[in-house]
Amino acid sequence: MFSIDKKISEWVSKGIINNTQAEAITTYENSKESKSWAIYGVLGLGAIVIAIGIISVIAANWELFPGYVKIINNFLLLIATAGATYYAFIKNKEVVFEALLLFFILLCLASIGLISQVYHTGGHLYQALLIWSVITFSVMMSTRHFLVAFIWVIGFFAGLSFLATEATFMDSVFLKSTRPIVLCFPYISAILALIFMKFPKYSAQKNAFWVYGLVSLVLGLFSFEVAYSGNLRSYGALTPIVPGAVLGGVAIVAAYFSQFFKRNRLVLISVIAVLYFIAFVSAFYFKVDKVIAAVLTILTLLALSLFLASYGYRKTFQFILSLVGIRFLVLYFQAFGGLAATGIGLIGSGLLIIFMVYLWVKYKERLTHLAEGALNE
Amino acid sequence: MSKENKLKMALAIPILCLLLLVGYKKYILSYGHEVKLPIIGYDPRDLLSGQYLVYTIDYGVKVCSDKSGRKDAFVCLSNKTFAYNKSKNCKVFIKGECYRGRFSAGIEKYFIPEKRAKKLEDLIRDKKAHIILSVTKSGVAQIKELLIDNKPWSESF
Repeated sequence: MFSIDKKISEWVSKGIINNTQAEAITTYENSKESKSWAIYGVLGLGAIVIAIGIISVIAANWELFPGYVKIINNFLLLIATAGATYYAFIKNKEVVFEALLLFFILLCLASIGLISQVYHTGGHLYQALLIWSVITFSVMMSTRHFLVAFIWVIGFFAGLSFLATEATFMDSVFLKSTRPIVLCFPYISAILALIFMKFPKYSAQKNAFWVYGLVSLVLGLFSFEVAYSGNLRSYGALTPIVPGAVLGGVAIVAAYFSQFFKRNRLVLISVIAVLYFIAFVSAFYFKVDKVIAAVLTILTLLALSLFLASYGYRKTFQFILSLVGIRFLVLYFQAFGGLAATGIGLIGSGLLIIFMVYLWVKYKERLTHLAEGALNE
Repeated sequence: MSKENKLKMALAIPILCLLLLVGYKKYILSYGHEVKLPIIGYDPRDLLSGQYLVYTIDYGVKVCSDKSGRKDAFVCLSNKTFAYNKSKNCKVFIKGECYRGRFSAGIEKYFIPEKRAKKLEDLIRDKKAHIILSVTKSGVAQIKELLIDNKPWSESF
């Protein structure tokens, strides 16, 4: 609230608004239930901590009580949480409702763990995560806020990741490696986000899939490319990249048919999908030269940042662009790593870092404006 | 359907699914074929992993001779045979998978109270240990009890 008060005083002093308008804005802002990210974040954190506490109590083997008592207590807690969630909904307590919804879906995961413990089930982790994703899907669809949907999306993709490495039937495709499935994540996220875009009331779910797609693309590409490019050994079989290729194609076709993107953005989204595939596969799968891999990563990130800028996501654009700068630096140390061991080399490296920061500070706004206007149709 | 009813349904679905899961586990325990099998420590240095015991079940037959990759596998308990395909002549069998030469059917862990873990680990190593399983017609097995010297493990303390 402090920031809005400060802004209102500034607008009044500059003559943009008068005192009556300032009072009206202040009254309106004060009457609203606070929905700030900080409150959602802290409440979400609280819910996660409580859920982890419950999981810890379960894991510490609550030996004073027999299995059936634990199960009954667990269901009573689930029912009570569901009741409290419903009550918060009908009373229009949005923040409490979202916090309870988050607590409820985490409690469902803890319940699967408890049932597994009481009945001594030693199944795979993907089974627990995917069962959780399926049974809490309806709850995820009830949220109107990003956090609950995003936690569900993380659990769902973690389940898919373990499925690729632990399930017998997946062995012939992914060859017991988690890495090729990471190639598929941004495409799966994009396809699901496009589906949710068809239903405007599910904007929290749509945003969760878009954000996960963006994060998995950047993290997957950035970490795997840096870690694996330049390694001479490559995979023998091509099968692990087939799902990524197919899903990438499906994502592009879905974007074309969705009619959500105009021509320029459609071309750019296709370019991002193709560049990401080439960058990931060449660096991670075929383990090409470090410089080529870095250039492909940088091109992918640049295309992505341009796409984000065209939608006015200024901060995200600047963040991705700073990642491009970091990749340049990492490449510098990859190529001239020996220099860091000498005094002159360290001085040169330090100067390069300072020069890049100077360029960034000086041209950040100009670059942002340029990128924002690049795709205007 | 009103928003309130949709939410009621959304919250009820996971609870009902979890109840079904418990019901399924109870069904296996109640209607499965009961078998008793000896167990041995999987790795004496790491018998106790977290708060559960990890062990190998002695099926009385050599399992998973093919150590390449991960494969579905079947242990026939009625005629003590092992195969990678389901046998039509076998009345009681356990379905699992072979991975790195080990047969795993989701029954190789036994959750135990933290305080008693060390003593139970010693008991399993020094004495005869068995597990009682309940096995369905489709080969799904579930643990009923852990026995030390033919008595429930809790009576050994």
